[in-house]
Amino acid sequence: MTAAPVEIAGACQRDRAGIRRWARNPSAAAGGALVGLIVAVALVSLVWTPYPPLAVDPSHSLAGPSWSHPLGTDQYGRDVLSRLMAGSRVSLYAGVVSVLVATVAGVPAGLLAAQWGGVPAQVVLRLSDVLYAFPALLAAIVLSAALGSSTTTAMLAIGIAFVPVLVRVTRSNALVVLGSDYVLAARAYGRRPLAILRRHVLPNIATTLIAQMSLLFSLAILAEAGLDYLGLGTTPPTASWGDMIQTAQNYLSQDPLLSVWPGTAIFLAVLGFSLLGEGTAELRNARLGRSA
Amino acid sequence: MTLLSVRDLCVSTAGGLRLVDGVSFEVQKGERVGLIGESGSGKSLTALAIVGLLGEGLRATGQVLFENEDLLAVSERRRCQLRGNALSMVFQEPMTALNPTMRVGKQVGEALRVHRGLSRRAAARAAVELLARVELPHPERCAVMYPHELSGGQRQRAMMAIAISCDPLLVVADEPTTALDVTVQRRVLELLDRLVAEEGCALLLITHDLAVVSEMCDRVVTMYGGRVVEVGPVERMVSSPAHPYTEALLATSLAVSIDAPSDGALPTIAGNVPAAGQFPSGCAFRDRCPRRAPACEETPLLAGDATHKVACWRPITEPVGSPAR
Amino acid sequence: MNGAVPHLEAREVSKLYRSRRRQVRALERVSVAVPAGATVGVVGESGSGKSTLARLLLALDQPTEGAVFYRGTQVSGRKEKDLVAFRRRAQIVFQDPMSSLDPRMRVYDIVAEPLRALGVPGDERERVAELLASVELPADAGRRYPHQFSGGQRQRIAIARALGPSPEVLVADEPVSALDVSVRAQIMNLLAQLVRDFNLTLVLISHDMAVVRHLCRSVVVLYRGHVVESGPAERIYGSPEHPYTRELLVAVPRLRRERAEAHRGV
Repeated sequence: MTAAPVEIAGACQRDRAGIRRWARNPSAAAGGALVGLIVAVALVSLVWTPYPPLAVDPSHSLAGPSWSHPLGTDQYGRDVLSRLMAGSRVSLYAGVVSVLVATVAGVPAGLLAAQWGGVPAQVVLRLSDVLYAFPALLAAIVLSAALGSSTTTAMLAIGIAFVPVLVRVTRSNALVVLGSDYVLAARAYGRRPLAILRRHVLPNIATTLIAQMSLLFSLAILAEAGLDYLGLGTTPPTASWGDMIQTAQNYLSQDPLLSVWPGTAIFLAVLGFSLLGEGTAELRNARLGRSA
Repeated sequence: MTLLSVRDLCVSTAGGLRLVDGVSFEVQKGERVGLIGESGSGKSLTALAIVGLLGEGLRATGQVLFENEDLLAVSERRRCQLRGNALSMVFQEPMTALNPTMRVGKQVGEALRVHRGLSRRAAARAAVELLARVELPHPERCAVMYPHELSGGQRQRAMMAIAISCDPLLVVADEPTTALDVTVQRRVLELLDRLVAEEGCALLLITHDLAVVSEMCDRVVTMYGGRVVEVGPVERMVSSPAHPYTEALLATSLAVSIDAPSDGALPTIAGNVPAAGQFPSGCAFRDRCPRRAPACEETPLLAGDATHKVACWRPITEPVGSPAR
Repeated sequence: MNGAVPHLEAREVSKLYRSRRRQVRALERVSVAVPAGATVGVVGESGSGKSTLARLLLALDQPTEGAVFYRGTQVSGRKEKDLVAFRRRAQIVFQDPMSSLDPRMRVYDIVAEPLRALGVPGDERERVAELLASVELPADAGRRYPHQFSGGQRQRIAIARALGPSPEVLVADEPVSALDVSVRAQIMNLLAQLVRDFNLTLVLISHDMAVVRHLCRSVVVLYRGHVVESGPAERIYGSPEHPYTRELLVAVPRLRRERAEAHRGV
């Protein structure tokens, strides 16, 4: 029997639609704004930064904020603002690579495990457990040793570490969809398993996956910064936020602000993607109401 | 003596959508009142508002006088004192209404511990007695089981045990048998009937099933579109209702009943029940009513005498079978 | 029975569900034969195995023992690719109108999908419009999403979808149980009419004996995976033999008879 709460969900859906609804959710809106800002900065930095990020100017090293250098300069006289802007590209790249790797490997595996169950599912899940147990840091070190240290190798490692998360999220959500009556109906009119995965399962789990990917993106940025800090990721002198923090720590007494800028940038980026992910998840739950 | 007096109860969402719109009715001491309606009628929300268990984002206004105390105006603390005590509730879904991680006996005894201050041991003993009263076989064994180990009907009985544990004055039962099989439903309804008679308490039974109401209740309140459309004694409501909606419900219930002749098309109500909050202005039933008139653009008020009231500009007053119908 | 091959038949089917700790025998050697043009009601409560039977009849699940036949040809235990013709001929409508339609698809696509999946020839747009009209839904319903419709309307969409491939057999699993009383009658009328108009063979699964009575001429009563009684509806309702059948009939709440008498004239 349809009870009142479900009808309320129906009523609320009607007042909002699409982008407007998205914009009204505080998490999604705030997250979206932050992410948008960072992406914009990254795009701009491709064609212009106040100074070349690598331009060294020893005579102006460790200068505080001023009109010519709004965020000051580092120990080599490089403009912090320019390096911060260029660094955003690295962070975004890091997020994209790792989330892409995790998605390409994890989502199909999760779908496979959900659809076929039995032995294939057990294989996928146990492999995923192995990956989960393997420390990401160790993987990063191994890969860097094998393939040379760079952002890409570091993020490959992080991406592999993310795979189990996506496998599980994909599988559990796919199982719910696969258990629904509309999938049973689809089987009744002859849809094959792959077509069902493509037409029914993926569209219905997409929003949840995107929310998860957004959260992973934020973790990737953090992880990349951490790896840079340890010297395993982006090699200097390429500007990256983690590297900037690493060098700034040597000058904490002389120029404390030097570490604040990249730290804040990381904070905002992580916050932005996290909020975006949470907001998307909230919206999805609200749309389905309590009937989900 | 009037035990419960609901006056002009409204329940709205945070966005201002009126889901229950000015509901008023009374329940006398020891009386059995059936609240009947379909989805979107607001009957469940009315029950939740009375007991003070509305969900997040829903607000109730109006008055709910229980023994002359306005439940909407008193503190939550006072409501907690009354809930499970003088005022108890039986829910629709026994699986979700019982705590899956707590043994049944402990849950049944919980109200007694809270309201009567019984010790753990005394409450456990009382719980077994209560489980026996609701005709659960081997009550001592049931008491130590978890909800998932019982069947749906047994869980519903356990819930009734909780509801009567503190000698309530009023039991609010929200679709207590809808989720149950028909044979189980029969037994659970008989149990409810017996318990209410033994306790001498009043019963507010919320359901969509007119047959159940005709078997269990003394008076019937029909709701549609968040409003009360008719109130009256059950004999009147199942033989010659005045509101076209009640009449249509009755006709359909009779036709779909097991004793009706099985051929021919069934009488239906044209159109669909609009979603909550999407009812037309004026009389909520106006788009589907066979007796629709221009006057129906104005919201009709509930009017009538002490025993029977109807909210309709053109109520059915002619006796059944007359050509004027 | 005139000896013609039944449209749909389950012969001694059993279904065993095995989990790590225990086994559940959902169906125990159940045989049901549905002749062409028949309207068969399968009545049972929860745990009777009626929904399992529905799935087995449509080869959506495989029996542990026994076999299911469509017009004499076995359909259980076959590969999906061999069942395309069968799928065109037998369709299903489910109980819950909320979960039986993909919330992410427009109604047009929901109704058109069986046509595409089964390769039904003909103009798709025309056919969808025809189907929506036959279930009394407005033509523009196709553009909207399921959540914009009421329960009864969603059930109509589900029926339209099932009728797309012009099936011979329609299995309806509790088609009106989740609907409001006032809408139930509408859908029941619709089903009765469609059965007449399209000469459908109907298998109606329900726990509601009143609904079955209106739509079916023969009844099969299931209890805990066994058939306890079956036969023509008049006999089952008039003089039930098995005690469980009698219990089912007695248990249904009734509008007090003396009141009902007064209303017969309307």
